[in-house]
Amino acid sequence: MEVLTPKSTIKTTNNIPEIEFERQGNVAKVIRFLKGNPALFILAFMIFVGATLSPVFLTVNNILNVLWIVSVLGIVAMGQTILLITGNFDMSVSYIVGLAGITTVLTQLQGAGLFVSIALGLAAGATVGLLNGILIVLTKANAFLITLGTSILVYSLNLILTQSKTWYSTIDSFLILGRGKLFGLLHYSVLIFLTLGILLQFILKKTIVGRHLFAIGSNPRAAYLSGAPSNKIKLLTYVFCGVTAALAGLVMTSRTGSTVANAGEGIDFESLIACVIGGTSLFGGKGGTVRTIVGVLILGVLSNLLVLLNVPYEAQQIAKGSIFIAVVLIDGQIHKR
Amino acid sequence: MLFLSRTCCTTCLLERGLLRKCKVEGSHCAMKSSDNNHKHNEISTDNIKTIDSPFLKMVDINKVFPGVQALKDFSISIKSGEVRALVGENGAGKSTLIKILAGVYQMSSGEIYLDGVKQNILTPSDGLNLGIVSVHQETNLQPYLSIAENIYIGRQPLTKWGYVDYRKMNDDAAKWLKELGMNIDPSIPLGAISIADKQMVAIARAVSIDARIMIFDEPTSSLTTAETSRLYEAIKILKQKNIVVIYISHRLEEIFQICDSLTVMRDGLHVATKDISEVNTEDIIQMMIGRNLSDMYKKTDTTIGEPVLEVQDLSVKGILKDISFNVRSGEIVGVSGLVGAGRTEMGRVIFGDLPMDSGKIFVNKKPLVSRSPLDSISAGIGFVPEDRKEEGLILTLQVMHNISMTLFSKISKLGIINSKKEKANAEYYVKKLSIKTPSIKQQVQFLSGGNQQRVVIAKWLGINPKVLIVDEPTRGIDVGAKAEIYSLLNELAKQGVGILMISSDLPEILAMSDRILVIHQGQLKAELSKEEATEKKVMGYATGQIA
Repeated sequence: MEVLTPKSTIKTTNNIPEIEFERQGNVAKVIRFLKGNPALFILAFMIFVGATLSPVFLTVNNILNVLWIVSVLGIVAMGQTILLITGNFDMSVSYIVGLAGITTVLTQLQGAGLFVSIALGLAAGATVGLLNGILIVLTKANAFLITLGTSILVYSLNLILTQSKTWYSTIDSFLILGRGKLFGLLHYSVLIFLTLGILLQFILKKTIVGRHLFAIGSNPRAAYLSGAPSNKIKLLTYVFCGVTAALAGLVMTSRTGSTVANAGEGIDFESLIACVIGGTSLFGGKGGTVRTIVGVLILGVLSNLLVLLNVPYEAQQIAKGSIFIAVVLIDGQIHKR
Repeated sequence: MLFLSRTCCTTCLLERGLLRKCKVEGSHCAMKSSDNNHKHNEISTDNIKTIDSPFLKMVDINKVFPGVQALKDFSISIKSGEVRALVGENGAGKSTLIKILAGVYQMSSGEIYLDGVKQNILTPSDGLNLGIVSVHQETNLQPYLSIAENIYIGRQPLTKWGYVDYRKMNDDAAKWLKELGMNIDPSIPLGAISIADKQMVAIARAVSIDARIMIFDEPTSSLTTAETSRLYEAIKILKQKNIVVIYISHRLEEIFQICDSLTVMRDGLHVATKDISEVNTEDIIQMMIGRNLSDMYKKTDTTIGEPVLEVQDLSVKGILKDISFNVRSGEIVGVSGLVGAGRTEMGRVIFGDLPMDSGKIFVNKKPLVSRSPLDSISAGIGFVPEDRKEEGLILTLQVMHNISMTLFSKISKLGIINSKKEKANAEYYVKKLSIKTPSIKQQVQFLSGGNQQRVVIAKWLGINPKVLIVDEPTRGIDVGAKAEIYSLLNELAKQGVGILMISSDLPEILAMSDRILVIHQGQLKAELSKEEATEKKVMGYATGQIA
């Protein structure tokens, strides 16, 4: 019997992704980095457009202002990013933002001190997060719908607690959280937002918990069989997301000094948009908090530009909606499995 | 048909353009071979004229994926009513070839002829219209429609009022099914029947639309013996109907049972096409991997020590009943049984993935109290699951990250991973298990099946397991890589690991096990030593014929 041996070794499929990156010069590296992070392109483009169209846009004041405005959204988006990486959602964040502010202000009115009232506000967020986590772990139901359900419950709670009125903080030093600046320059809330983003990025990339998060988001079954404490981590991420939402709520309340039942309305979807624009997948297993910072900045710069250019509110909403749809479509294409 | 007289064998019943190909292959072509050592030359030209011309001809097919040439000047021709086996290691190009034929992929260059007419098959529906049907497990059948509706989907018979004529549809469907030896009510929903029955429905649909070419890709991978033989009967009927059957399987023994001829592929090239009577298993393996492999199942002797895993009266309601056995250090214990007997579930219960209703499990004499995969891992049990891609690995993660998953404690401090240690660790295992990957940062989805399986095993080596449960360790892995997995298991046993090997591959169980447990309907029916175990005995217990 005659057996042929192949004349040349044909490269096996093992090599496919390698071939693309054969040239590893510095320029190629930069290009590859940008390819993997299209959000940076978008941000740079928007900054360029802003600088061209508006003389105010690139001033230090305006930039700091944009950062200050987006920091509430940014803090919420941090928790949301962590959840998205594990393939989960939290749609109740918007009313947790409200609940945390309400809890803090109302306890202050009852005589609680600064730190106690803040702790209680954060605890309220953690509790709702825990509730979300328990429901999802126990029922294995769709996270999106469950948290939409708790969202309505939390809103009702907010309405009951506030009696549909506006309440004002009684402790002046509480206002530092939202209004105070480090060295009179950078708002503390911006600092919290950025520090959180960088710290979480480290946790995602360099720690065991981070690995578990990606593993669970990519293939929960394989992660579980490899010993990932899936349920514990799920609970933990929901509690964490509740706490970040509450923290954002405190920042928001401290900014205005007051709170209402629907304080954080709309931030649920906006935080999702920010994550996805930044490059965190809706399907789990991919993403990062630094990417989310970029996503949040894109949204912030967009709003800022539309305001600076005197675009009417209706058109602003149209722009935001269209961008969200576009990004979700692109995300679906990129992360198709 | 003049050109036929110039060719010498069925493989060479190809047009002029192909004669060049034959020369490359050497021994086939009469035009070239004045040397007469080729047995096909004995066929006289008169005989050849009477041979049916091939119904399917694929000529000089090339398929280039980015960075890879999956098919290289590949030619094949098959007669009507012929059952042709397509064999080759994973990545040899089998799936690419049939996907091109079915219109899923488009070839880079080449020609396809059906019954002598050149065809352009650009989409799957082109393929279907030409009567090319692919039958595999994930057939796109609709689980919520009835069997008959599935067979007649898109072309339901109508009454004169324009409604679907259910009675006629059910009667006709029943007829087709009966022809294939299946007595089943065609009005029940497809979701309610077994995988094997679904396959038969897919075949019935193909027959009813007058398919001319039917492709079976690993059709028996989840069938029981009885279901497999029923499939064979169905294929024989297809043969009688003069349908071209292309049969892909890793199980070579099947090929001898059902196929007329085989084509061996390697690295996208045509290696040989032979009559099934001309070859034996060893020949095929040699052609597939290009080297000899007499010692595929080479069991090495190990020192068998104390029991490392003891299972006492393990019961899970409706699945397992009072199962007791042990696995000793250095021992490979095989678990055999039919699909659905409870083999896989037993492995999962021991690993803590499924809860048990009663029973005790000891690892190194210590009872396992709380039950989750994490607890089992800490106790020293590793688990190589049956479905590598869904359960064993995270395909989108790097090789390195997959290997690290079970051994974070080794490579981290205070929860922070030491990148250097992680890298060194991954490199160590990649080298130790000779995992073929361009880099430890490669995503595992791009590795071949055998290499993926090695990554799964690497993951468990890191925990220094006392017990390793392997479920179907070589499923979907090509012959060459199989041998390497076996030697890996041998090596582990030698180091004192107790291995519980669950498998439906009987030769594998018989050759590799020191002891064999046979499970029938959730009960442990026999515990056979290596010496007393025979294929007949194991099958007897597994099917319940020996009680």
